[in-house]
Amino acid sequence: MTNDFLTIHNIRKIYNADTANGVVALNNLSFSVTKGEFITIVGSNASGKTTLFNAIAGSIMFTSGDIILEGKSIIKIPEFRRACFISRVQQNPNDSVMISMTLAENLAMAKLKGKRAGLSKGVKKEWRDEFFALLKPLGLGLEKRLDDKIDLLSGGQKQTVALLMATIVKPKILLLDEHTAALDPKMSKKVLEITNRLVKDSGVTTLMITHNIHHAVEFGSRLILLDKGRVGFEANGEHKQKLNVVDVVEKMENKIAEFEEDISIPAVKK
Amino acid sequence: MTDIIFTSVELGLLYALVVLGVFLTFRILNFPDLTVDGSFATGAAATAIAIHAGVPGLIAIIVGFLAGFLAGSLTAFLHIRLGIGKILAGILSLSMLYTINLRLMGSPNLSLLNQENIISFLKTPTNPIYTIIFLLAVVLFVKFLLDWFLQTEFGLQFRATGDNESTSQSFAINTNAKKFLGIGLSNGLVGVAGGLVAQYQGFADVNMGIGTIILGLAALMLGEVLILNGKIGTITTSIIIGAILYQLIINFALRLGLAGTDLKFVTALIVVIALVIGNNKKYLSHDK
Repeated sequence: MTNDFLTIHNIRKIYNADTANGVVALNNLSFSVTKGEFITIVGSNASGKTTLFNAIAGSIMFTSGDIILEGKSIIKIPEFRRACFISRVQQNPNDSVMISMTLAENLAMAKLKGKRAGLSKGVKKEWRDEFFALLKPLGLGLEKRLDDKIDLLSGGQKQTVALLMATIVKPKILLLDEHTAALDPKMSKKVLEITNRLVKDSGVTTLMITHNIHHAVEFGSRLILLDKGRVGFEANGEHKQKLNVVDVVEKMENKIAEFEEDISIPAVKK
Repeated sequence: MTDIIFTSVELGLLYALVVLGVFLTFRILNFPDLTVDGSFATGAAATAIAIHAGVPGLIAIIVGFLAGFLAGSLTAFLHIRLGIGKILAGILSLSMLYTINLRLMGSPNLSLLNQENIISFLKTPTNPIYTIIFLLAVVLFVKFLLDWFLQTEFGLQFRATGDNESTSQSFAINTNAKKFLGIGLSNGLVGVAGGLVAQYQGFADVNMGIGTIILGLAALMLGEVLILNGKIGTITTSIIIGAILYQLIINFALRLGLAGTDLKFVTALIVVIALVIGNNKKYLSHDK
């Protein structure tokens, strides 16, 4: 266990605990991540995917369990401090960027991550050159729009910028929460290709939630199927390469069938 | 005619600081801060007390700033530390400030008529231009300071906090600290305005803050009509012009026979009209 980069240890999260509506979102979930892995996470609705990300990023407290990064528990670190080493791209393009600010200002803000913000100029000349060089190879024409309000960009462009913002200061962990779900198929593919390139080039440890089984199978080095708040199925290495979409869909359907058969799910455990 | 214009410009510049403060909270921080009605009088009270203690008028303004900043901190504390809603925190705070202001001054008002102060020093019965130059210098100083601040590294994080608080946290921004500072700074500016108005009218009064927030909003919205582009410098300039425009409208309306007691209604009406126009703009620009 000591060689693991990130360990999710027995996490349990119950929403509305102690009430009749109690829902177990994460049911003693455990898994480990090796440094540099690119994990795709699939699962039906309410399988606990986003709750897992919220727990890692620190947006929610959980009932019990621990999250260990490089041998140290991080659960006592408040969200905004954890953000120094955990980056996140949200599903909604408007939640990943600052819509009232310009493209350059957004990227500059991302560059300030983990630094002590001072009273020097926010968007520095040398940063602008860096942003230009970063945006040009994407082929989206964004390098000419550094001074445009980011709200004028399309959803796909926003998500691309969000990806750059999440990785411009290399994080230890990158969390992608269905970041292409709100895009059209073409743009979705484009953003995923950019994602794949960014992840490979930087070697950042990445967890990506997706509802698109094709993407989950095609990208990443390991696939995890979450089911009722625990790991329902996983595949990595050769196994993952041989995996095809039909297999995964079948696994998911089996899990759903199990779910429907199982009539005595204890929602509230005291 | 010219006297109306001069008076309007004077008052416009005095209240421009309030409007810049309101802009900082309502627009940049997305925090509808109602403390202004209280902190305006707090700034005035603190300035008046300082002048009575022999502090020169110019330095007494800084005292007004600090008093306003503290008043804002009270609201920030109620909201951030105690978790009270934004609007309610402001209302509770301005209610507390009413008592605090009375206690500070020891009476409902404090005259400055026999005290040397910065405006009485500048003001000659025949020539109001020195007062205007002085006020313009103060307002422009604050404007350029604000323009600069909002474009620094810290300023970017500050604006991000108002734009999207939860996303800001995922960019490692301590949003609570930014909000605390922003509400403090905003009310500090309001406190300066209160101190200047007290020196201008020759007294500080515990009721002088009532209606300041509505006035600030009306002027802010008038100014926003004039905004040509999204540059911060343009926005702050438009807001200052809006503050003067508001005084011109009100003073001409008074000259045309509007009763002084109708002012609050008219001001609120300006805010309503601006809001409706704003809503319609959004509606009209919508594709369907």
